[in-house]
Amino acid sequence: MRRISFAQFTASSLLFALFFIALAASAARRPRYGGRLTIELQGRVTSLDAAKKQRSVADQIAQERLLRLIADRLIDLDQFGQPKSDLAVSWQHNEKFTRWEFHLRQNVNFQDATPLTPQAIADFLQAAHSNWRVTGASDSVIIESDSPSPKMLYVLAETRDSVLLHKPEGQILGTGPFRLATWESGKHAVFAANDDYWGGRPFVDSIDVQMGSTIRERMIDLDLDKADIADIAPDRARIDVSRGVRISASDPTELLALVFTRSSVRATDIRIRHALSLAIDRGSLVDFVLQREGEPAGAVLPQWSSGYAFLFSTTADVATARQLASQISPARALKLGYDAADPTERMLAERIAVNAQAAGILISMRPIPVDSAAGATSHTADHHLNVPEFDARLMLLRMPSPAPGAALEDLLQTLVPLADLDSSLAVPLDDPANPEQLYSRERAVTDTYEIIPLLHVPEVVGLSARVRNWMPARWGAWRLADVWLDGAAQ
Amino acid sequence: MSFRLKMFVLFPLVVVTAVAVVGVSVTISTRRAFEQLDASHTDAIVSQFQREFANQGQAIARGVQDISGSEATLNMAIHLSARDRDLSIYGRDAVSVASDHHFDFLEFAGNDGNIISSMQWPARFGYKEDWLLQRTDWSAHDAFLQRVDTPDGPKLGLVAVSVISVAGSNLYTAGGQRLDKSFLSFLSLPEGMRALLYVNLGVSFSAQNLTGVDGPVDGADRLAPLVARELQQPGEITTMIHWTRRRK
Repeated sequence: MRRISFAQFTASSLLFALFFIALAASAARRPRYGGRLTIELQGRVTSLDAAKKQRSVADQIAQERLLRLIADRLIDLDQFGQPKSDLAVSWQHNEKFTRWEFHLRQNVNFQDATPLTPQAIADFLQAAHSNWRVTGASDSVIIESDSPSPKMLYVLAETRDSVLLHKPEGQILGTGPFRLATWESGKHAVFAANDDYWGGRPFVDSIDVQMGSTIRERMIDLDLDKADIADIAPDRARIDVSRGVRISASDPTELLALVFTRSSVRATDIRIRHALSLAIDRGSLVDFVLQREGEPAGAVLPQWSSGYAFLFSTTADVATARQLASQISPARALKLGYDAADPTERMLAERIAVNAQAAGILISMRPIPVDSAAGATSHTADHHLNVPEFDARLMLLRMPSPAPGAALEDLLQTLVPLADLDSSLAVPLDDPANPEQLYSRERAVTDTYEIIPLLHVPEVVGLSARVRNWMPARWGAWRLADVWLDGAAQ
Repeated sequence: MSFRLKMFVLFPLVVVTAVAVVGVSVTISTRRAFEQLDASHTDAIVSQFQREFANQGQAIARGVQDISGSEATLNMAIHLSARDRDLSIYGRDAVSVASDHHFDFLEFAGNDGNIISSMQWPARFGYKEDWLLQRTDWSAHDAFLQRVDTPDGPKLGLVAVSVISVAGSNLYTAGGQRLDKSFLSFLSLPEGMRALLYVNLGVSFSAQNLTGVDGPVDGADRLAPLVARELQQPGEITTMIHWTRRRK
């Protein structure tokens, strides 16, 4: 028998050791099943019924995130915002975009094993869209409308069109990767993994969601590893990064705008509105108040979505603003409302007042009580926001879709009734995919200065060190079925 | 007239005259003594007030020096002197630093006098404080009275300024306390003395701007002539005001 030399023995031992180290390292990086993901949200969700209005943008965002856990839509959007199959695997439409047919994925069940049928989807969509005629065929759903619907795919990709089954006993079921296990309205919810999900079982066993906690509570829980994912105010992101917190920010998806109320008598002269728009130093708002988490906005839609936002000026021109303001006699102080519960909005309002004062425009700030301060979300056009004692108010609005056409139409449907704008500006566009039409519509709105876009703000979340494969869509939509936890039991 | 009668008239006259002379001289000397005593007492309590005021000013100046000399402020100054500086990260510093030092006012301003961070008016970042650039050698000045802009309108402050210079770029630290009734309560005054503060922020006398430790002062209008004289001829004025009716 041939004897192994000492050198050969040492070399082979080292090779074995390296092999096992490499194996262990790859195992550490391999996705793991199991574990409970803990999420703390700023908003409070009182209902998972997408048709029910939420009180604020934060509540709306929270509801959308929870709905995406339990429900699917006919269409989803890929990383680039392009439509891709979800419950519908293929689709076709006629030349006029008035008839759409969606062929459905087979063998999909609700979370109680009830089969998802074309008729169930048709009934759900018909209830959500009264202006459509929706019918279920053998393996498809047909949607017909009197007017062309070229942005149909983007509409169906919105969270409000998540397909849900309302059981008689009040239970809400979907076909999504998680099922609702515990529900305390506005406070707490637990979602369990759906083992039979058509897209494959999610990695984590369950998701625990705490709602309505304060920013302080969320930060402490992140620091103590009591939370894995938590909402963070954009203006705190830089501080938290310097403290070692892992931060994830979306592209800007929220619009902060100054909206002149329809009832205002002190801002009827366009020159005062124009002067105020020129006086505001949006760059400073982003740099100092938002701590560089956001972009100055001159247009309703952000640059990443529309591609033409750079054509709208965001530069302050105090000299021209002062000149315009001096032409108005007698000068009257404008009353600017802001959300009393939002310290960032208060700071923004204070800065706007300082900018306005430098241009000779007097502004008195008034906090709007929480009950009536609810920021309009794209789906919650709430006319009681038109509080009569204010000339203008700061409003935070969220883009419902990354698609510019769908987003602009939706935002204008919210804003136009609030401001003193012609209702024709809220009418759907002939071709929402046409950038020229979108630009013209935005220009028509912003040139009235009834709505002054100020900032585009991202959604920011803090993550614990054990969260892996965190890959949200660039517009902020979470994909929690793909997330796994480092250190979770297999 | 008989001798007896003359004596009868003259003697009482002499006695009365002597008593009157003695009485008047005693009264005059006593009054002078009391006036001197009163004047020296007044001088003593005025100088005590001035000492207390100066002490407060020195405490403020020390506090501002401490802030200006801190490592955090030095880091800020070094960062400001850099070419690719980002001022926004310091936007909220003044609020936390002022809280630590119990200052009502605190601002950091750059070489051009533009506010980097303001405690009293955080939204005013980027605007210029011209008065900071009017003097070159702030280290030679103690705390001084300064009109301070706030969101609620101008206030009067006892303020000190400190400057640190890095690579030819100045960083101004201006901090202090608001002069109001709470400031008066910090003064340790002798028994029988009270300090009133008139904050001169308007063109004419306003009774609302006169405050004592307990707030607005009753009968403030009686001080209007004194305030008017002071506005015309700034300096130290001594005058007597009959405050109560009994002393009229």
